[in-house]
This record gives sequence, C-alpha cells and structure tokens, in this order.
Amino acid sequence: MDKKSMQYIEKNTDNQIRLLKTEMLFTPLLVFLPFIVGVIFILDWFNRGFIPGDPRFNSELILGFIIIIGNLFFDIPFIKSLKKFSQHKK
Amino acid sequence: MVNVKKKLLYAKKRINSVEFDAHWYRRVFHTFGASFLFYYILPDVDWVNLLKTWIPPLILVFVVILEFLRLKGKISSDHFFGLRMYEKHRVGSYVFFGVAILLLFMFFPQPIAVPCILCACIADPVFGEIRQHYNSRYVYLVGFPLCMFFFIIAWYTADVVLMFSAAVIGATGAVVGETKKLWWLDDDFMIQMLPAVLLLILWYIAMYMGFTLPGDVIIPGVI
Repeated sequence: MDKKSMQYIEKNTDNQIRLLKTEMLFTPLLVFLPFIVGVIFILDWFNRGFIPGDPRFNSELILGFIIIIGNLFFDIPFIKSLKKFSQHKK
Repeated sequence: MVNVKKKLLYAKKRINSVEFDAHWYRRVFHTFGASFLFYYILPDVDWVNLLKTWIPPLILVFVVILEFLRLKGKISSDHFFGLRMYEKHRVGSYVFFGVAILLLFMFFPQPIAVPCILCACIADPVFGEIRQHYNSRYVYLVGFPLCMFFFIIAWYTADVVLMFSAAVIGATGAVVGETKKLWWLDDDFMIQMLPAVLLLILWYIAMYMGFTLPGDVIIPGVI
C-alpha cells in the first residue's frame, strides 16, 4: 500500500473535536483495563502457582508482564498526545 | 480585525495534532486487545461457559451490523475515529481483528490462540512503529524474535523440538501475515490466522507422531 492510503479519513474540525471527546471518554477503559487484566494474571500466578509451588502458572506471570509492559509502551505516547491536544484546544 | 494567517497556522497545528492522536489511538486500541485474554481465566462452569459461548459472537454481530451500515452509507464514516483512507470503502480493520480473535477463541487450542492474539495486539503495533521510524528491514529483525518469544512462552511445556518448531513456524506466519498487505484482507486478520492455521497443522502432525503437546497457557479460575 502506498503512503497516501495510510492517511486517516479527513473530517471537518467540529466533528473531529466531538470524536476526540468520545475518545477521551474511552481512555480510562483503554488504559486501565489491560493493566487490571495483567495484574489479575500476576495475582493468579501468585495465589495458585507461587504459594502452592505449581509451575503450570508460570506462563500467566509472563503473560501478565507482557500485557502490562506492552500497554505501558504505547499508553505513554498516547496520553502525551491527548495532553498535547488539550493544550492546543486551550 | 481577524488575523487570518494566525488562524490558519493554529488550525494546521490542531489538525496535525489530531492526526498524531489518531495514530496513537489505533496503537492503544491494538494493545488493549490483549485484555481479551481474560476470556481464558474465566471459570470452567456451566453458566460461565454459556456466556463465553454467546457473548463474543453477539458482540461481533453488533460490530458487523455497524460496519455494514457504515459501508452502506447509513452511518457516516465521520463517526468512526481513526479510520484510514483505504478503510473508507472497505471493511474496517477492527472487524477483521474481531473476527480473527473470535475464530481463535472458538476453534483453536489455547497454546495456538494465545500467542497469535499477542502477535496482533503487541507485535503488530511494534511492527508499525518500526516501519514508521526505521527501515522496513528492521521489522523482520525485531518482529521475528518478538513473535518467537510469544510462541515459546505458550509452547514451553511441549517437547523442546516441538517448541522451537512452533516458535519458528508461528513467528514466520505472523511476520509474513503482517507484511504482505492486501487491500481486501487486512493484516490484523492475517497476523492471527496465518500462524494459527500453520500451527494447527503442526499440532495434528505432532499428535500423530506422539510428541508431548503443550498444556494450557492460562488455567481457568475457580469459583
């Protein structure tokens, strides 16, 4: 695919701002849910794997960390860009 | 008097920031998909299994109806944030993403489904960033070991030969699925389904040859 086709659909500014407000509403879900799921995996490993000494749960520990780190890697620039947009709006 | 030049500059700046934002929004939407792995930790009891069977297809049906209405022009594409130009007259990539995850949940063993979902949710945005900032060649150099890592985690309880075979085949499928882009078939679908189908073939071959197959990556919870 050429670079032009990778561009986003152009929208009028008013609609774009409305959409961004919707996006901001979703932000807590997009950012926090993966963290919660990651922590659940780690806690599950701790309670059912680490304490009784069951190695079958080790993959849950790694999965938990992958989800948390993977999300953190993209959440930081995403939140920065949202903050940048909010500053522009002011 | 209104300063037109200043206003134009301000509008341009704002539009640029909006594009930048849509870019990161798409990336975060991808990584958010890893949360769906929670499906596997849900307890293995009758009423939960019933919900596990019905809720994901119902969500997908809703999304498909929404997309159908968008393509028919009943709902404007303006209401969908972060759509690419090529998605204006084509099924959006989020539908492909959802269809592939549902197929993995329903028809593939967990050690195949989990790493394939991770490839789409974590490796795909990493591929995208590498492609944007560096040469496409680095996609293979960084993406392949990253995908291999995901497959090794899921298959580490299997025989060593089988684990490495699965990691190489799975990672090759994921990288090829992501890099070979087709207008009508999204890479979000291919990055999941190509390695999954290849590994399913390997799964049956390994079963036939008597190899030790991997156990579940995520063990269902108990109530």
